[in-house]
Amino acid sequence: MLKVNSIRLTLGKFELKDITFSASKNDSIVILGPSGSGKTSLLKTILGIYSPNEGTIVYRGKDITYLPLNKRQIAYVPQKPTLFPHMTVQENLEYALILNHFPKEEREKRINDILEFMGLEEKRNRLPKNLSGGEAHRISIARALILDFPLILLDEPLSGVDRRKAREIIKLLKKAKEVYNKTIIYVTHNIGDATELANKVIILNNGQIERFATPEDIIEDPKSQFIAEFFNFENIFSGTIYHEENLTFFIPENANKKIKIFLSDDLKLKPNQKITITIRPEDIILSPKKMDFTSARNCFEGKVVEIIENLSSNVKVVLDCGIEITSVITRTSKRKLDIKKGKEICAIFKASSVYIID
Amino acid sequence: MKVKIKHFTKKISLFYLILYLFSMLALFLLVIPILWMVFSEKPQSLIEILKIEKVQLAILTTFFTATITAIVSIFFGISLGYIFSRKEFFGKNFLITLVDLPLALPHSVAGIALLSVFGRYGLIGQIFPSEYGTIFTRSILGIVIAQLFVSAPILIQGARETFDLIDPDFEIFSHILGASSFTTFRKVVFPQTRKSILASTILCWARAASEFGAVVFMAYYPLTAPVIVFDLYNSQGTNAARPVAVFIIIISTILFALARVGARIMMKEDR
Repeated sequence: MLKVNSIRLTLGKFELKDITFSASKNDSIVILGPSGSGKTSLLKTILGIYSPNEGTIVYRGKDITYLPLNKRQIAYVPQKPTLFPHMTVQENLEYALILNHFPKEEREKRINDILEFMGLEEKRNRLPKNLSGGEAHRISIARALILDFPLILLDEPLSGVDRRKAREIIKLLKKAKEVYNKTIIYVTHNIGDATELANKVIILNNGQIERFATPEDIIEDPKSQFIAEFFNFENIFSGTIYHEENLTFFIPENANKKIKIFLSDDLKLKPNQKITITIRPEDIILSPKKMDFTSARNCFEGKVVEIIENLSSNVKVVLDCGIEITSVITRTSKRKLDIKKGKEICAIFKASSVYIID
Repeated sequence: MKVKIKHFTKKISLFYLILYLFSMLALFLLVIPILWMVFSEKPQSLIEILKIEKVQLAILTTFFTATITAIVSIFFGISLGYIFSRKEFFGKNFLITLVDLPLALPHSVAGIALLSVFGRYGLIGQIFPSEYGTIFTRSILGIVIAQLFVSAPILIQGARETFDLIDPDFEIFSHILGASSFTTFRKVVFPQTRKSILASTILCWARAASEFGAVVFMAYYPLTAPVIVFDLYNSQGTNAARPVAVFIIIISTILFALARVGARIMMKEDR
């Protein structure tokens, strides 16, 4: 469907470097990255708003790298809805269809169908200024779906929409993707949206692809400190490798602790080599007393220094064990373990729960 | 929707007193000369003066040339205004200043500048053989050029400022949907700017019809209404010039009112 090969784009001091990825039919690719990482520039390059300095973009088997944007047939849903203000909802949708030479009856049918699908039949004669934010976003998505363009690029289309409405639109988008059989590339800051929508995720960092993998793979093993931090991973420690009697340990900087780690065969690390590790808070269990016989190789005693509760059913507990370890437990566990600030408790985790990320 | 400011006190503040004072002075200066001239003129003298063929011709020439000027200015204004608004190039701001300059020039200076290009021995005028020596200086074409020089900048400036207000993302989006540049302009940009362009066109037309300085230097003949007022004043005094002046005021008022009604209808159509 889409092959982006070694794209380089210079925009003043910013540069997209060596961007290579491909999207197959019906893929949902989410592009994630911090502000200024080049997400929108990448979309605009695929759309033809920016011309790359190097590289090629092949779409439906045709090189479109320098094709004018009105010939590309790639639909776009921008951050703000960009509905033409002098046209009603119906006229906005019809304009797209007229440009693509749909006969009148077909135009009528498609407009009726899409408005019904979006639940916006009653708004067809409204001007954009008389629509709510959520309605305008839905019409903007409808305009992208109504054409036969198989690829839709969405650039943070839910920014400025409240979470409840955003959830509804995400659901609608997932359904629309199936009904209208589209491939989508979706730019967002929201990791929740990404994991819900995507079958593949591109993580951009400073104009380069940091990772292109499935969301499960990334969450399971972030592989880099940047991704771990971006995905709000806790328990990221830098330190050195230490071998003892066929076992491998990690010694965090400025702490007299040994964390047993598991090394896969293909990962050859030398003694004293500097590395960074992460442990998912969900993989750390808390126990009131030290357990000598457990399958988990790591057990650290510490004091509770912070308890973070929000509206979810989970609670974050931060322990000072010489290093600060964060664990996530349920409210029930918190009650049963009688977790309080200053309470002494053990943090237990398996060697295989330690991921080397750098 | 107009919002009325509520007056919480009946006491007039010093600030409003100053505003009222200057407003009354401005109204006196702007309105009284026109009203006084119109109402002190006998209808009979108006009818008499309009029977003179030279006057009829001058008024027709004025409306004809001003209309041609306004139409040409629409093309100038849209083209240059759109390019100035959308394209970036070296010296753009300097060029914008140059284009706006005729609005600030004394009109006699504008007339001399035009003569140096279109006059018999001017830059372009000298290209034409001697039998066409007055092609610019005694012709409708000459009048239109003079009017364009002083009034087209109004439309160019107005159009540029209006195009600046339209988010270029709308155009990019129209292209993405498959539209050409011309279709995008016709269907997306122009409908959003037509009211402002119409308003600038009315101003441009009025400026062209009332132009005296540049026209008198460039093409004294055929006479236009402003020139014939001057001509009659010079040869026969104020009493002879006044009826023509009054007639121009009446016609201008009617046309302005019609244009405003037209613009209001357009606004209603746009909801």
